[in-house]
Order: sequence, then C-alpha cells, then structure tokens
Amino acid sequence: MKKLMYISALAAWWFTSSCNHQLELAPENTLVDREVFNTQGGAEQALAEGYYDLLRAVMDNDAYIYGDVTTPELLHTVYYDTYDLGQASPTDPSVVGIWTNYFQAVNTVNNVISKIPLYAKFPAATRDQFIAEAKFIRAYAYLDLLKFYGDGALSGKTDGLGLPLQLTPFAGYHTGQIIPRSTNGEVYAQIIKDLTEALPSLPDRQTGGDLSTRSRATKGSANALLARAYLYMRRYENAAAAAKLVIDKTDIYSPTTDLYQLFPPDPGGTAQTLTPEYVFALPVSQMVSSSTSISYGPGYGYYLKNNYWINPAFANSFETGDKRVSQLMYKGDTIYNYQPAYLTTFKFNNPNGRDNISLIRLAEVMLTRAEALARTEGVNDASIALLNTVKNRSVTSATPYVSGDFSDANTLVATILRQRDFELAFESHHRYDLIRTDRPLHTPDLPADRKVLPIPQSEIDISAGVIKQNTGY
Amino acid sequence: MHNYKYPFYPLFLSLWLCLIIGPGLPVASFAQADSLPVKKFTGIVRSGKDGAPVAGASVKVKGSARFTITDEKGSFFVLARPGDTLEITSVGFASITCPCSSVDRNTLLRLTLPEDYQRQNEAIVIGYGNERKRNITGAISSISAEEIGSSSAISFDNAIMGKAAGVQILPSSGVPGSATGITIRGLSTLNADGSQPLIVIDGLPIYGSGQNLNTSTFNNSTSPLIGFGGTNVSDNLTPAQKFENDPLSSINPADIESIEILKDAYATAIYGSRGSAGVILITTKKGSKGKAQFNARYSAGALQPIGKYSLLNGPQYNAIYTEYYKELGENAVFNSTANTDWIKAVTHTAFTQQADASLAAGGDKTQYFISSSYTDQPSYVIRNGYKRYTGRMNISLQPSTYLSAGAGMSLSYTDNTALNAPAIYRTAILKAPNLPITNPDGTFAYGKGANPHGATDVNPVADATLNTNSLRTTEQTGNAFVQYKPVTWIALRTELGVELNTGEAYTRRVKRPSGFGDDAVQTSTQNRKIVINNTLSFLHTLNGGHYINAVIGQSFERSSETINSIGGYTFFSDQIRSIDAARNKYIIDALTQKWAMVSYFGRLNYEYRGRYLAGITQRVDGSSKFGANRRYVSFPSFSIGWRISREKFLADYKWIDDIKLRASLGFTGNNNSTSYYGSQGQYLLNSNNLSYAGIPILQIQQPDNPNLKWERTRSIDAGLDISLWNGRFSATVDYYRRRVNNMVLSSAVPLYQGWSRQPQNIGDMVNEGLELLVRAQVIRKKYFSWSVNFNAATNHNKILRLTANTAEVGLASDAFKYLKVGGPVGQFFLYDWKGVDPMTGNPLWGDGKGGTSIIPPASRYLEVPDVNVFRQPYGTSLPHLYGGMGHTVSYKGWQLDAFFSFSLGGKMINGSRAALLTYATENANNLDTRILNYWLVPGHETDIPRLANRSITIPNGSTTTSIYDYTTSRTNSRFLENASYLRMRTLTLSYSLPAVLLQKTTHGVIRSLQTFVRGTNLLTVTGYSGLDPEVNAFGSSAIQSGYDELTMPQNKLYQFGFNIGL
Repeated sequence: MKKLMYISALAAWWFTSSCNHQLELAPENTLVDREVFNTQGGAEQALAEGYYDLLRAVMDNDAYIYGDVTTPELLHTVYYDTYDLGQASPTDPSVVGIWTNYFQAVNTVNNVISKIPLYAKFPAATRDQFIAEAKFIRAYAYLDLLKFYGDGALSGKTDGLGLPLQLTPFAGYHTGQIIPRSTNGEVYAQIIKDLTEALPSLPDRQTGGDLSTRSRATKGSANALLARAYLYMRRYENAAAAAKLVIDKTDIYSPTTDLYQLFPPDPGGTAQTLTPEYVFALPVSQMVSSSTSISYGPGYGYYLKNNYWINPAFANSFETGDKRVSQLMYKGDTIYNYQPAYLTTFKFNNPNGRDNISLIRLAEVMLTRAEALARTEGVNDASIALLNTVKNRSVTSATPYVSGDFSDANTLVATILRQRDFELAFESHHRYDLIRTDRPLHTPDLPADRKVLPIPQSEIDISAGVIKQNTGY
Repeated sequence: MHNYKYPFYPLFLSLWLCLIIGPGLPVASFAQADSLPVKKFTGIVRSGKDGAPVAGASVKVKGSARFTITDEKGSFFVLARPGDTLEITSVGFASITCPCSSVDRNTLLRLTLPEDYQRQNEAIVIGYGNERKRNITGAISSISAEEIGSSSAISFDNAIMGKAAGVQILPSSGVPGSATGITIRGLSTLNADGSQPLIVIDGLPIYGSGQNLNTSTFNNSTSPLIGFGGTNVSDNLTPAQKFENDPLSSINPADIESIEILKDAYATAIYGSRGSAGVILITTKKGSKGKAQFNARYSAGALQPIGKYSLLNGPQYNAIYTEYYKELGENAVFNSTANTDWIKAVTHTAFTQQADASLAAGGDKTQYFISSSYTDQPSYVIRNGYKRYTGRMNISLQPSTYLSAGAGMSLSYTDNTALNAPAIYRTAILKAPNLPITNPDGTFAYGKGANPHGATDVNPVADATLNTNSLRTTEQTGNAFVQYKPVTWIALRTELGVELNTGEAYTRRVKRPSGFGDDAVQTSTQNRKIVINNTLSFLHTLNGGHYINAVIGQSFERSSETINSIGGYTFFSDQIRSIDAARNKYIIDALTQKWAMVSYFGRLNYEYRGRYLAGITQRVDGSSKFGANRRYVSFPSFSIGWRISREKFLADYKWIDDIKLRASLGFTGNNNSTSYYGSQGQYLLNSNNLSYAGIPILQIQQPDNPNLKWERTRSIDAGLDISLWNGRFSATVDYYRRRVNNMVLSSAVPLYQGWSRQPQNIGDMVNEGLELLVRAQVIRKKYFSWSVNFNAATNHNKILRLTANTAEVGLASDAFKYLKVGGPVGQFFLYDWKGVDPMTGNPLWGDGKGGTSIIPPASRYLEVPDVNVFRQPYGTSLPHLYGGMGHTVSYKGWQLDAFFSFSLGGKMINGSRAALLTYATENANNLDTRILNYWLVPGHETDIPRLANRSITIPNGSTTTSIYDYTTSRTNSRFLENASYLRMRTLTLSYSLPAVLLQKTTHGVIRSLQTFVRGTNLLTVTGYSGLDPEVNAFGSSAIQSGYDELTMPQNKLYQFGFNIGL
C-alpha cells in the first residue's frame, strides 16, 4: 500500500511537471496584433501603412497616369494603346495590379478599423481619430476603384456593378467565401458613410504639423473627398455644400499664387513642403530612405517622355499667356531627353520621380463647388468668383468673368469644365471628368461599356463566376 | 564482418537470465544428485556464425535442474548421466540439444550454436518502450548494425538506402555531407520540407533533414559565381549558391546498434503531430556484461566521380561557335589555340580513410560503451575536403533491483570544406576549352581571352585554389534516464535529453582582375533543444494468457534556433579573412526562433493466449506552432493482429515458425507544414525604413489566418509476417493507404481581400502501396551458405481534392511542378517537344491540338491569354517501384556481400544535357559532344536542331542581347528522361581468420580479425543519359526532386580495410 502511494505521488509529480504557458511563445523579430494596437505609437504606425499602401496603389501600375494618358491631353507610344482603345485584357498586369494594390490598402485600413477597438489602450479621442483616418483612406480607395472598375459608375448608372465591399480585415480565406460586387450606388453609399462617420473625429489640423495636415486625413480632406464623390454621383447640392466647408477654412487652405511654389523645381530630389493649396497630397519627396528609393512614380515617365508626352493640340488650346503653359510646360531635361521637341509638365520635374503627388488641391475643390452651384443654381456669382480665382492666378492678364459673359448655366458649366481641364491637367482627373460629363476620350468612339477596366480574370476564376465581369468584356 | 554482437534484450528474457545466472564466471550449480552415477562432461560452445567462443550460454541437463553457464572462452563442464541430453541456449542463437551418450566423458564437446533466425521473441524499440517482435502489430522495418556496417557511407541514411521496404533515400549529390531526402511511403505533404521523417536517437528527437534548418546560403554581393548573365535562356534553373548540409552525417554509423523505421500509423501515432512522414528510431550501442570487447576498424580508399561528361575540346569548340555566329550573320571567329580539359584540372582521385574504435564492457551494476571515429572523405574536386571526428559514451547502471539509470553523450565535429565544390565543378564543365588556365605570366586567366563571346569572369581552377569556404558543425547530444521499478511489472522512467548543434559557415572570395569577388559571408547557426520524457510502463502477464504491455507518459520539448549571418566586401588584402576588416559590412540575418511542445501519450498492447493481438495508442500534442484556438490536437490509432501459426489447425505444420496477420488504422499529423508562432498576424517595420509624414510604416508581414487547419493523415495498413523452416525463410507483405487531408499550401485568395496568396488547406491526397520484404537462406551448409534478402515497394500517389486554381499553384515557381486532381503530386508540366524537322532543321512543338508547329509555344504569350495551355503533365520524379536486394555468400572464413538498389518509373529533367546544349548565350559555354550532330542538310535526321533555328528567337540586329533559346528550356519535354536504374551499391569481399586459429596463435589476445575490400557504386544500369540518375538539384526535398543541373554525381569508391576485435 505504501508502495502504491509512492507510485501515485511520483506519477503525479511527473505528469504535472510541465504546463501550458510554455507554449505561449511570441516571435522576437515581428510584432503581433495585440502588441501593435496596444499603443498609440504602434497603431499610428499601422495606420501609416494604410497611407503608404494608398500611395503605392496610386503610383504603381500606371494607375495615376491612366487618368491622363487615355485623354486628349497626352500622346503616347503604342504601349498604351490597349488602355487607350479600351482593350486591356482581364489578365493585363496593370488591370490586376491596380485592383490588387487598392484592395491591399483597403485591407490594411480594415485591420486598423477593427483591431483598435479590440486592443487599444490609449485615449479614446486618438483612437477615434485613427479609425476616422482609416475610413478616409478606405473611402479614397473605393472611389478610385469605382473610377477604374465600376461599370457606368461615372455615368450615373447606380445599378451598374461596382465592387465587392470588403469592410473587415482579412481573416483567412475559405473556398467559396466570396463577396459579390455591390452596385455602384451601394459603393458610393459606403464611401459617403465612411466619410460622414469619419468627419466628427477628424481634426482640422494634424498635430504633426503642416506636412501631416496636408498628407493625412483631416476634416478638410474628408469634405473635399466628399465633394468629389457627390460630384461623381451628380448630387450637386451636396457637392457644393461639402466643398464650401473646405473653401471656408481659409486659415488652413488658400491658393498658392506662385506656380513654382505649388510645383517647386526639385532636381536634387530634396524634401519639398506642401503649400496651403494642398488639401491631400502624397509627400513622396519627403520619403527618402537611407537604404533604397521607393519605386518610380508617374513623374519618372513624364520626366523621360519616352512613353507619353503632352499633346501639342492640348497645349495650344490654352489662352496665350497662361502660366500653366509658360511655366508648367517645358521641353524637359537635356540629358535624358528622348523627344526634345515634345513638351512635358513641370508638375513632375524630378529626374527620379520624387515629386510630391497631388491628390486633392484647393483648386479642384473650388472648381467642384463652382460647377455644382452652376448646375443647381444656374449662372451665379459664387461660381464665377471661384472660376476667376482659379483662372486668374495663371492667366494674370485675363479679364475676370462676370455673370453677363454666360448666356445660361450650360455655358458657365462648360467654361468651368474647361478651366478644370487646364488647371488639373496631368493630375489624374481628366479621364473621369470627360466620362462623367459625357465628353469623348482620346479614342472618340469608344463604347461606354469600354470606358472601364475589366475585372481581373483571377477574381472571376477563383469565385467561380460569383464576381462578374464588366458588361463590355 | 562481425562487429559487436549485442543481442536485443527482451525484457522478460533478460530478467530470466538475471535471475538464473547470478553473478560470476563459470558456475556449476547442482540440484540434488540423482541416484544414478553422474559423469563430468566438458565442452566448448562456439558461434555458428564466426566460430568465436560464446560466453554466458546456458547448458542445461534436460529433465533435471542441473545447468551451468559457459565461461568467457566458451567452455563449460557439467555433470550428467550418459543417457542425458544437454540443451544449450544463448540469446541471439537458436538453441540446440545434444545427447551425452555419444560422447565419452573425456571427450571435449564441440558444440556450435546456429544463429537465431527466428527472432520472434526479440524486443524491438517502438518509441517510448519496447515490444516483443511477435507482438508487433504496426509496420516497422528493422535494420541491424551489420547491415549498416556493410556500407562505407559516412552517413547512416545513405547506408540504409534500399534496405527497408517503402523507404526511399534520395541522395542529392556527390558533395560530401550533402543532404539526403528520406521519403517513407510517398509524399506526406506539399511543403518542400514536410516529407522528411522524424528522427529519434535514444529517445531524443533530433533536428532532422530539411532545407530550412540546414542550408547555408552564401549569396555573395557583387556577382554570381555562376549564372547565365548577358543573354537570356528562358526558364533556366540557376542553382543558387547554397549548400544543404545533411545533419544526420554527424552521427557515426558504427555507433548504431539498430534502426527501426516506423511506417504505419499504429507505429507512428505515438509521435502524434510529427508522425505523418514516418519516424526513424536509432538505438546506439550499449555496454554489456562480461569480458571487455575492444573493436577497431580502419579502411583506406580512393574515390572518383561516377562518370564524366563528354565535352568538346578546343578545336571542336572553336568550330561550333564560329559556325553558329556565322549562321547568325555575325563575323565572330573563335580561334584560340589552347586545349584545356577543365574537368581534369579541377578533379582528382581523392584519398579517403576511416578509422573507428570502441570499447564495450561492464560488470553487474555498471556497463559502458565508448567509441570514437575519424573520417576523411574529401570531394573529388580539388581542395575540397570533408573530415569528421566523433566520440560517444553510453553508461548503464543498475544500483539495485529497483533502480536503474543510464546516460549517453555524443560529440561530433565536422569540417566540411567542400561547399564550393558544386560551383567549381559546374564552372569547370561550362568553361571554354580553348582557353588556358593561366596567363603566360603565371597568373590565372579569367576572361574570355581572344574569344569574341564568352564568360568574362570565370576560372574554376582559380576559384578552387584561391577561394576558401567551410562549414564547421558540431553536434552534441546528451541524454540521461532514471528508472524505478517498485514491482517487477511497473517501471517509472524519467528521461532528459539535450541537443546542441552549432554551425559555422564561411566563404571568402578573393578579388578578381575584373573587380568582382573580394567578399565574404559568415553564418553561424545554433540549434538548441531540450526534451523531457516521463513514462509509466506496465508489462504483465495475467492468468489465463493475458499479456499486457502498456505505457502512459508525458513529454515536453523546447527548441530554440538562432541564425546570425554577416557579409562584407572590399577587403584591403586577399589575405584578410575577418569580415570586421572589410570596408563594407552588412547584416544578412539575426534571428532566434523558438517552439515548444507539450504532449501526453499512452499505448496499450494486448495479447491473448499468444494468438490474438490488439493495440491502441493515443497522443495529444500541444504545440506553440499551433494557434491558441487549435493548440491541442489528438492522434489516436488502433491495431489488431492474429498469429495464425498458433492455431490448432496449423499446429501440425512444424515447418511453420510463425504467421501473423495484422492491421492498423490511425491518425498522424505534420507540423512541418506551418511556420513558427502559428498563424497569428505579424507586423514588421518597412524594410526600407520608410516613413509616411514622419510616422514609421509598420507593415503586415503575415495576416491572421485563424481558419488554417492542421494537416491530418489517416493511414490504414494490413500486413502479413511469415517465418518458415526455422527462420530460413521469412517474408513481410504490407498494404497501406495513407490519406492526407487538408494539405497546406500557399495558394491564391481573391485579390479584393487584400492579399494575393495565403497558406490554405487546399486539398487531399492519397498514397497507396504494397511492400514486400523477403529474407531467405538459400543454402545453409556447414562451410558454405548463401542468403538473399530482397525488398520492393510500390507507391501510387493521387490528388483527391484541390480547391486551388491548378494553373497557378505555387510549386511551378521553384520546380515547375504541377498539381491536378486525379494525378500525382508534383508532376512535370512541360511543353511538348516533337523533335527536329529533318527538312528544315527547326525544332517542332506540339500545339496542344494534335498538330505540330515550329513556333515555340512559350513564345506565344501575346497570342493566347495563357501559354500554359500548350503544356502537359508528364509524370513525376518519384518512382513507382523501388527497393533493394542483397546477397551474402560465405565459404569458411570468406564472405562476399553484394547489395543492389533499384528504382523504376521515376523521371528526371536532365538539365545537365540542357546546359551542355546551350550555346545561344553570351557566355559561350562548353558543350556536350552530342552537339556535333547538329542538323546540316535537308533530310538529315537528328535530334539536335540546326544551330540558328526558329526556336532561338533573336531580335533584329542583335546577336548578344535579348536572345531567347527555347530549345534548352527545362520546361520542355526534350530533357525529360526516365531515371530508372539498378545500381550495385556495395560489393564487399572479406576474410575472417578462424577464431580457433586466433585463439591459439595470439593466446586469446585477438578475438577476431577480418580484412576486406569493398567497392561502392561500381555498376549502374540505367537508361538515363546523364551521369547519375540519383541526384537532386533541390537538395533533400522529395517534392522538388527530379532535376540534374550539372549536379555533382556520386562517388565511385574503392576501399581496403580491416576489423580487429580484442
């Protein structure tokens, strides 16, 4: 009996000599969710990836160029013919790449949105702000995606197929677990919802200073994006109202008189500030890393002129004396000048493509409000004043417009759109403005259903057809 | 040869012996004397195998209680009546009986014990315990020390090649110490490393093979040593500059007592989450009671590559390249006059020697075994060596009947300086033969000389002479156990094992005239592991014929794996070796990874009346690699057995020793298929230190993947074991079916989810096969015997379910393999090469619709959305049938051993042939002489196209850049060959001096002496046109196997040696 007791005691000791906590091991070279979102610093750094992903989405895969290279603004080599002619294949690397990169940004911010409430141990106001910024990024990404892939999204087809609304972070994929494409209307509604929810928690100015204010989400940039979304949705009253909220913040946003300050010469690729005209821009020139450079953005192509350059007809359509031609169009660098006779834009003048990239400028917001008011209220002074502000900065000699110059709302709208084309040229607006106003692209007779990119074939394959191809393909 | 003959100790037998033998040397014990007079009989007992005296044999007078034990000279005396019968038994030998009547009391009885071929009562190691062989209901292959000793391989995994049915051993190359792939019963997973079995030495699971832990990369910074610069050759495999070490080569094969290979789920489920790919249990030699035995072995030999390529000489090279560029319209004349045999310049006949010695001894309470060895087996590439030093000590203690303890320690140091051998070998083959080794001034000539095209910076002789490289590994293992037996049938045991592996890889290239080189990389690795096993085992026979052998236990294991790697370039002198002195330094890697595992397990083996067997095992593993929600996984298994031979209806068939039917079903897992730290989301700072508006960017490295399930293998096995005619014939047949469910592979996810790939449970596959093992003593005469053993196994692999998009499954990126439901895993997926059009000399290609075309399908990417539609599956690199066959013929002291292994049905991409037919590159490398048969005139039937042909696409005006040579792409069926072979692995002729003679002449000082000559890899029968059908450019990975990329062929080795026993 004694023996048995010894045995039991020994056995008991043996079998309890290890425990479960030995299995709780954490990697030493990486951080896990809990560690990242615990702290304000970690959460902010995770949010920074959202901005960086958006930057990558905008810069890579010709996503930015696409808005201009398919329009009469630019001429290009045969390389861009497939895009110009609406013949990009569903396996085209850019078609796949743009889709992939934007959705990567969406996933990153989805992660921020869902993990902060789970783990955060920092002040609620900051928490809400980070979530709001993440929602702004998601809204920006979805609006861009609609421009590329939404079937008729810019032509008022609210029931056209939009995008899969992925609003939760990636948590493993189960075969067949597919989100079908929502309609354009539903995607727009989500964009509006995200921005509206974000607005109360966003600051007017970011604490990190002016650079942060102009390169991270603020009340101003959210309203400006809201104005753009409403404009695309043709909800002009809302667009005008949202734009006004930005324009009224004159202490933060004001037009930059000198175009060379707005688009500073930067041959050395040094860090350039963002003037008060910028509402939301990508501070590429600031992002110099010790070890390597970030990938060449759209500016590299403009600089080299080996693939696309300014259409002379477009340059000639400006009024004489327009600084947007005399200052911002030039024949480019003499060393790498592949096409010495052609013009390029000074908006991108760094040899390594290290120019800041403008996403929302005050000029756009002003023209949006001007257009929206003209469309809702007819010829009106507010629209004309905004139009003059934008135009006369560059065409200093021009006589400001007065209401008598416009016979009806349509002429005013047409004039505003004309200025919009000039002002925002090469900033990835023109294609979408042409489509939404039903004006021809570079290929004039392009069918409407070819004015969007096809959905990547792999999405259709992997979803077994649940994700549908655009009607034109 | 007889090395150490340590009988397997069946638990009950050893008990039995202990009880009866008691202490001491010759002891005669008498029971009460019979009334009739007894006489004194004396005799000597010898081994039937080698004639050596058998000490400790029991000599019993039948029908009485009288018995004695032989002394160390094998002699005994016993008192018996003339009519009595003596019965002599000894472990490891069949017992004999001998009537005393025939002998006079003054005659010395000379009794020879035959070897015991019927080892049904031997115990074999089965993982956390032992079991009598007759009770085994799982599929286990045992390999004895003799079988390992009959090979000269420096690593045991190469020594057991072809010796166990269903166990495929695939050496990767002829580089000493290079990795070996071990695949048991087919692929276990889709992961490159996941098919490697778990290896357990004396209860300690060690770090096994696999690319992950054993690869030293020496990617230097400035330029690749080898490669296809300048022009493009589509889809080439450029072997990376890395060396995969074989961790098992640190074990001295002579220290191994036995190897048990656990194959079915009943055997492996006790290892749970690591049992899916099989388990190899290694038991090292232990000391034994009795006279101290000293054994020493020495062998010396010479080795050469198994074959040599037939390459162009200088003038032939000049002619071919001049002609090619003439056809292109370029006036490039090759007319350098040197004629160098680069292969001859970098290879030599290497001298090898092996020496080992061991001492085994012990008294009643302490036994020990100590051994050490030295191995020097360099590569046949000049200045590339391999040396290994090992030491081992095993001690067993029995301080009391209740308590026993033991400890083992081993130390091994390997100095491998052959890391660069593959690169030197490859460069030498490809180097232009019309160039000299040295310039007239005696310096090494690197460039292309007067050749208009050529590699600009290559000289293999200079690389071999000037560059240094080494991998120094030390492996230290220690284990200790204490066992307490409160009663005879219960044992409590605690085991502690420690393993410490360190590796130090260093490469240094001197500065070349071109400025390249001048760099160094140093990588140190440290793997540390602690294992604690606690078991409680029961061994009991109850009344009524119930036999129970059970164990329950618990195990804890923790591992920490560290790698530190630094590089440097620009040294102020070629003599400087320290990276600290380099002008530019960088860190490649600095990382420690850990995992831990807590396990609980139990096994119950039951036998009823020696006839009916049943077993059940269960293991629960908790692993840190598993996510918190899926941390504990359970692996049960069941088995049944029926020893038909013990049934009454077979009782009359005396020639039947044993017939056993058995079947098992069980589940195992595979934890190689996942990363460390489970599937939790991980974040890392942007690798370029980028920040956004002043905020550092923290990037998601790996997303959360909570849905990921663990692979689970369900195995069934049905087997039949037969032993007939007193062990003269035995056979084992096994049928198995292993279904692997939820295989994990990185596979596509919908892009809108934010990731493009993710490890997913994408499918199921099944391996099905038959295994056969036959051992027969064909002739068993007093002086002459011939025994044969033969094993063969088939394996049929099939994918049952696959949710991933087959066209883009990840394997294609590294080995161009292909997965499809209904086909085997890892098929070659190739363009259809239809030979050469005799009229035009252009290659013809299958167009996928039954026709042929002269346009290479891979070039049609602009015409069709996916050029893969032109490709077809072509079978896999893994054989359908494989095995081995051994013959042993002995006559008196002479013995001839021949061992063959074979493999049928495996395919291989002969990338060597492709490389040696590649001339359309700026490198203008040397070519195989087969190129001389290139197409000349219409009507010329040949398999070599015209030099400038339609499948070498050349953009206008350029003869040097952007050339695509589709004819030599590894993705076309031109280079796929059948790699079936039959190879004579070893042929050994040995002579042992008669033990009696030794006894007489040396007065017992020398117990045994044997000399031998041995040839390794002397003969290979194969249709494969490369040098060696048994190489793998991808190292140990079975799933990526089937590529020969000028991979170094294995050695042909001639040896002479002797064994001596004192």
